[in-house]
Amino acid sequence: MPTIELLVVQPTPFCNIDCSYCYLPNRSSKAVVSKQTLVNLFSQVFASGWVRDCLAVVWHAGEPLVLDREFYRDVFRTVDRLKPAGLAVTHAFQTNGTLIDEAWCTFFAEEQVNVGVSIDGPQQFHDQNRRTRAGRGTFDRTIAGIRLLRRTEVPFHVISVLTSRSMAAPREMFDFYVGEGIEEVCFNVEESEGDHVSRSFANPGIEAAYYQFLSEFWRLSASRPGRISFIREIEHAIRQVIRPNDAPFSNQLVEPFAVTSMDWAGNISTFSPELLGLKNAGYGDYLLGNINHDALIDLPDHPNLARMLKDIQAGVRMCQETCQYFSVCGGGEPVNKLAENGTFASTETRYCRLTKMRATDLVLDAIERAQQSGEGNQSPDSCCLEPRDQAACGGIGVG
Amino acid sequence: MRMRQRYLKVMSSIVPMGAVGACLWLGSVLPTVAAERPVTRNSPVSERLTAIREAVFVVVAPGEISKQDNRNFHLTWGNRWNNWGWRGRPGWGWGRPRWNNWRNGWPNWNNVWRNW
Repeated sequence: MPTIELLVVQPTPFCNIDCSYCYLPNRSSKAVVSKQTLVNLFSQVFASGWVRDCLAVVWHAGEPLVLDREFYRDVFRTVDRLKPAGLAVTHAFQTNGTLIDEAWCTFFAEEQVNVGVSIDGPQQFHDQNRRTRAGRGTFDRTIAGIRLLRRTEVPFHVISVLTSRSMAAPREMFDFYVGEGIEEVCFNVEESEGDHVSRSFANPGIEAAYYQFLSEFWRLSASRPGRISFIREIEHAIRQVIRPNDAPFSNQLVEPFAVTSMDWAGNISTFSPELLGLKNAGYGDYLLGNINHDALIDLPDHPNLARMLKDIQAGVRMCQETCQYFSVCGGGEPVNKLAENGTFASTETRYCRLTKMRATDLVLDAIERAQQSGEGNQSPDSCCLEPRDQAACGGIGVG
Repeated sequence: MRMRQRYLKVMSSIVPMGAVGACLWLGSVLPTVAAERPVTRNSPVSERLTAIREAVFVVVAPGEISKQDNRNFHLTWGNRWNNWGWRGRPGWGWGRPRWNNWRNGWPNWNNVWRNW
């Protein structure tokens, strides 16, 4: 039986801006998901038995804030009414931040929504790609939204897409986040997806640049504890490298329905939300059915799933047989294999060389350096931390 | 075995820090000038990963990890290494508890390096 761990819902494909690297094919469409479609989705998800003790719902794949707050309040109450007792449902928005106002901040706080804001660093990097349809930069509006989140004490993280230019400027990026009080950062790379072909990936020095960016950004963060509390790429890599050798590990991106996605019309896909809007000569589309016409529990029998899964599993096996990094990644991201290699039944991508291999290399190298610096001479006790970080380091012992 | 022994001391220091402390400490040993790979590449990556994990296993008490009834171990490992909402959150950030839903549990070590 599948387990749904993340539900990605597209409330509308519309986005009020037009980023140059966006993979969404219909971002000018102002279609909106109907209430009945959402009722069909959540009632079937909850009745399926495919959800365990918690479910994360991400409202994304279009700018979620172009819909009004009453839309979401109504949906959230419906979800509360439909969900089984004891099931924790968390809602999250990934937004470009340009529409955040005080009323949205109040809403985020009242509904305890997890907020992610897309901002690519300082203005000269952000406005390079994140523009309006008229070609104007969106930095001023995005940073205004972030400042409002801070002022109203709404917790948030940012996702920044790195390009060749911003990768060459780790200190500038670091100073920007610190200056704006941004504490939690996630770095994406400008990747090839859908119709978008990455310009950054064409740079032959991109892998070394990415490694050096992460290294310097991490070093700067560690040198000023308490400013940047979370760097996703580093902490993920640390957690994948430093784990007991029998700790369970899996790759959700290759497990059917672990990530389940629905577009505004009720079409369902899995493995990766990007697949909802993609078509391919070999595969056709990647849809498994429509929640308004099909039963969720019948979707595992859809021929598209069997076709995708056969190739995805073949790709995972190839990774397992050939890749030194398989144990930190579990077979990669099917959607990137498709974009870069043309098929799920393949292995290495530029995307995985950057985000998995180089990040893992960096953590391994840091461990080597820690070991070499006096064979662990610089103990945790001598580590200079501010009180909040000492609290994070201290406390209960293991075992 | 020899490589595991090599990592045992450094893992004995790192593991009790939890992920947050490990991130700070390991970041502090990085060179000032943007690092040039590699420091040492004497062994294949997969062997280094295996040796590190064997060392971690020894540090956190062998035999305890798969015992589902060892609540103390689970709380400790979970709270300090694994409990930031990673389970089921590829893309992430989104599931990270920010308001009041700090969770205990024994999560999978999922692959969660996505962005949607």
